[in-house]
Amino acid sequence: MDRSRLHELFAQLLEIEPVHREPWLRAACGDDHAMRDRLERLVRADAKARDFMEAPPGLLAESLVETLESDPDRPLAFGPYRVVRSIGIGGMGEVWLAERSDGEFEQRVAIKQIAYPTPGLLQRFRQERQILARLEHPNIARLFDGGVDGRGVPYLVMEYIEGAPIDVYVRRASLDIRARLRLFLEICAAVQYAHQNLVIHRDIKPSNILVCEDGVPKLLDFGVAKVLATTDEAQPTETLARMLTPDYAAPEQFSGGAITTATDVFALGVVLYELLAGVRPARPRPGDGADPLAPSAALARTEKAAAGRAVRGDLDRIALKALAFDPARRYATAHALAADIRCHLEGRPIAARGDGALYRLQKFALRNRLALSAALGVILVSLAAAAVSLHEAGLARGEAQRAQAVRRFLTDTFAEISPDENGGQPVTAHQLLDKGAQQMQDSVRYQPALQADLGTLLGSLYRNIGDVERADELLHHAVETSTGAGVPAEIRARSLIELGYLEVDKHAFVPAYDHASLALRLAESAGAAGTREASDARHMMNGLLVWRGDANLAEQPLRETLAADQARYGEVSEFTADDWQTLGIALDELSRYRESADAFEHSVAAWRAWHGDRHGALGRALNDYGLMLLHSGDLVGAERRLREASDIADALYGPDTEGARSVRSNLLRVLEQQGKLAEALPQRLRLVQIARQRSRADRPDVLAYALNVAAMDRRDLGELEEAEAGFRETLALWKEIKGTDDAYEAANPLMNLGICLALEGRYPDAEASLRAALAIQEQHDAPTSQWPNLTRAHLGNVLRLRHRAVEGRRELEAALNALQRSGNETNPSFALMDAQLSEAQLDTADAALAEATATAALAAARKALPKANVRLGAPLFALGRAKLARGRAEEAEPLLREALAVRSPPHPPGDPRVVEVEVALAVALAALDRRDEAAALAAQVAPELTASQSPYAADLRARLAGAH
Amino acid sequence: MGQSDVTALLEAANRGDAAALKAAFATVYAELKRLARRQLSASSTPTLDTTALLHEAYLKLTQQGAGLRDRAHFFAVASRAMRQIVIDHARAKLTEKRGGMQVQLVGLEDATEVPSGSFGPEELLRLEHVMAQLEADEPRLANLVDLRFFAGMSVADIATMQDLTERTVGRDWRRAKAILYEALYPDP
Repeated sequence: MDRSRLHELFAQLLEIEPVHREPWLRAACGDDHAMRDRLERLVRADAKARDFMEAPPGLLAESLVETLESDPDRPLAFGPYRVVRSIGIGGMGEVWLAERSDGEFEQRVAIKQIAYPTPGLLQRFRQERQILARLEHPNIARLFDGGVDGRGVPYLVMEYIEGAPIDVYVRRASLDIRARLRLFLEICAAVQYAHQNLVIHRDIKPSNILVCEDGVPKLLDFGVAKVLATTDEAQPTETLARMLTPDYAAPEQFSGGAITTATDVFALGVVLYELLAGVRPARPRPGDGADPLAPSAALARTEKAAAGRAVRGDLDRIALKALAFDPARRYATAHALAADIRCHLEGRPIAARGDGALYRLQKFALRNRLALSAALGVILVSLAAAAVSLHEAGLARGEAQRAQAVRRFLTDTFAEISPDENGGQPVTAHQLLDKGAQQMQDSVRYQPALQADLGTLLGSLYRNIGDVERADELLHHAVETSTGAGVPAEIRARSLIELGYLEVDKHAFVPAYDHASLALRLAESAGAAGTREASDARHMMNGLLVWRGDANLAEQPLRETLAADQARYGEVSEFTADDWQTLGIALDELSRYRESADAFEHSVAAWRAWHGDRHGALGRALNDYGLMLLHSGDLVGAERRLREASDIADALYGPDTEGARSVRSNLLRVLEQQGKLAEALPQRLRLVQIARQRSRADRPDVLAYALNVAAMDRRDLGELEEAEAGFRETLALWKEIKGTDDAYEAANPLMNLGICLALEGRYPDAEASLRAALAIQEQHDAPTSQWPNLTRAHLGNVLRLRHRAVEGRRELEAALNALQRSGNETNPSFALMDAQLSEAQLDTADAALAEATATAALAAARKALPKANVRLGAPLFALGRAKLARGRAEEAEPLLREALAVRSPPHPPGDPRVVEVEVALAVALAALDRRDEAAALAAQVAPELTASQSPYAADLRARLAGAH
Repeated sequence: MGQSDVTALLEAANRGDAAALKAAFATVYAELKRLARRQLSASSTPTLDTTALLHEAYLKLTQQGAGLRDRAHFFAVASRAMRQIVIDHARAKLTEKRGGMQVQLVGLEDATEVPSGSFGPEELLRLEHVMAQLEADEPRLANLVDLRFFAGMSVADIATMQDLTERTVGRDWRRAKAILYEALYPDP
């Protein structure tokens, strides 16, 4: 027989599909029956030889060992370390136990050497050194030193851990479940720490977790660890496959999928499983997608049934989640895994069971909310994954079959996507969701309940990543579908709530409120199954009440919700923190600033304790807190909070993102309140510019706000024409956004426009604008709120300037009476209003009262404002006028000089706010018989007065003339 | 025998120097046994990491920075040495068991279903016999069996070392197994 031909044919034959073999054999062999027979035998052998020779021969070990004798060839020393003995052979080479004793110091170390310095291994060895050098954690083996030996082979000097592998340790020490879990938590902390330092271990297994005598577990052998964010693709990853212990490798590691922190989580899951069940989980075959047996079930199969009871339930869930075949379904971080274990140990509900945590986290927008930034693909996948698992868990409370269907759907969908399909790029959350949405569309066989469920989930995830359009589509569709027959009430409620969140994002508060209250009714009708929805609906409604100006209605329910959350979750929880924050905003709306500050303090403290000092939630709370302080007039306090919020936003989201810009805008308001307008304006204009570029299309409201504030600065810098244009553009934008002239957001620009027009002397237009603003505000704000009353005061002032002083005074008195005064003594806006009232009183011939009012106003203003602040100008001027009218020119003069000093700058010369003071001063000087000075001043002012078209200029001319 | 000499020996062996091959083989054989001893005595677990063993031996016996081709040669020899070690020991065991009498190698008496892991001494000797035939027919496949079965290297590592694709190595491995299986447990 021609053996080489036989082998050649066999090689070819193996490549042929079984169905085609018959004809091929006939063709290839022809008459050579012997050949054909041999080939057929070989084929049969091939079918049976699958597991043949896949395990090494058992004799191998003993054949290599004959007698134990000491090794003459081992190294004696590495630098100052003297070798004691070999610890064994690790992944890359030999490991030695060594001692250092140079007089005072006795220390045992492990010295790790590289067995075979290929460039790849050498590089990884260097990398391990780098990795270990930056990792400092009580549960990670420390790196002390490193060097190169006489032959040029590098070595690492590490902490010598004398201990047993964790699985052996827990057995020997007979640790109960709780003790094992506590041990495990320490390792989770170590892994989380490594991840935070951008290192994935990749080879976590019990033999790499040694527990010392003192019970401290240590994580070893970062030799195959990978540093995230490395772009060096030349790293030999495939040859390391040998070094990975197959039992602990995550499924995606076999199929060449992306290695992420989820891979380490999987390994942790296997270790946890072993600690709980005493055995390793059985590996599913690739392509199965099935999850392993729950640990308690595994225990039940052995004699340890009692132990199984302790593990059943939460721990099963936790272990299985960590071992999920699909990385998107696992815990995203070691921290999340540890958190659930801690919950279990403390007897609290775990996330894997679902208590609405993620839904709560999808916070709806409140005023000046910071935008959610677009995060990295991995993080978003985790978000999606978390949403999925929680969603599943929520469903599992209801019907098991539905839960199964959803899980299968999502697994099918998400599992199909791998970086390979994606051209090697990491899959983004958007792609995942698109795939899910597509899948859902294609699967018409799902019944309405499932469709609604899935649509709601996908819609909410799209909203989370900022794709408003898709979210809108899916959520509206979900709401429609959920009105179909057989859809449980809580699913309807959920879809309405998600839609509500989206509407809040779009500032569509009225439909949001309607949907929320409908959702509440539905959720309550669903009884226990709808508790989460009911709670979320209530939260949303509270927030909306505050938002749309009915803060007084919201206060009571808010306090109730706060109390309930405090009882349920304690003071340090995201729910409580959020409740305090909403309450703070509500009280801000109601101008109860002291109480509001108290609420905000609670909120900020809770956020810090919950998330730490650098987290978006804390930033948002500080932002809202700062704004409230701004409203209340506490500029120092406002600046402090807003600065911190701005730092957080810049760091987390980037300085040019919408979120960071909105905080910076608030911070600029502090500058503006301090009168530093020239400083603020260029920054304002820059924000406008960025808003035009980046926000015009999808967030025109951001541009509108930016324009409004910039225009206010211009107005106070005397650039009245530009200011007017700015306000008008803002109003046009709001009309475009809201589709109506009298949206709530138009009120403030209308008021500002009115003030601007008044300064220009265009009183009829000014009055109209202010009345329009007032009309809107009276619809939305509480009568005691400062906003409508501020507008009313300005209106009164304009009326006075139109020579309708009696009317004007009436408006001013009404405004001041309506205001909630207590707790607000430091609000400079009130001082302004009092000053305006004083002038009205003066113009209605009530000089004595005017003087008293102005005196009080000035005193309050001095308390509320920093020295030389521009806003002192109004009360100073008013008091100066009053004194003058009362014949006390000598008292008037210093007041008026001070008014001039504080007003100019920022107001330019020729600005009515400057000219009116100069006129009064000239009158005062004349009254003091300092004719020359008076005349000089009058001469200075005269040209500006003649040039102006404003009726006010005429009045001032009259005053000037009257003095001579 | 100095440390760097094995490379030279192997080069000579490649040029046809039989004595050099023998010498190289002997050195490697001895070194492997020594290393294995150390590995087993020091570690708490009884598993033997054979590939690490070979790497260790490679380090000890060759010059630094040897190329892939030299490495492949070394490993071919070293894994052959592993096979030898195992077979020698198996033979010794059998002789022991049967009181020093020579073992019958033709063994159809044990032809049963797939013994996927139970390579006892008799099995091993039969395997050795069959491998000798394979070495004659397809030396590359025999080398592959040495690397995979006796030295415990993964398909991936072998592919890298021999500069082939994993697919190719996988296919060859499959073929080798089928051939050996058929030879060891032929159909009646």
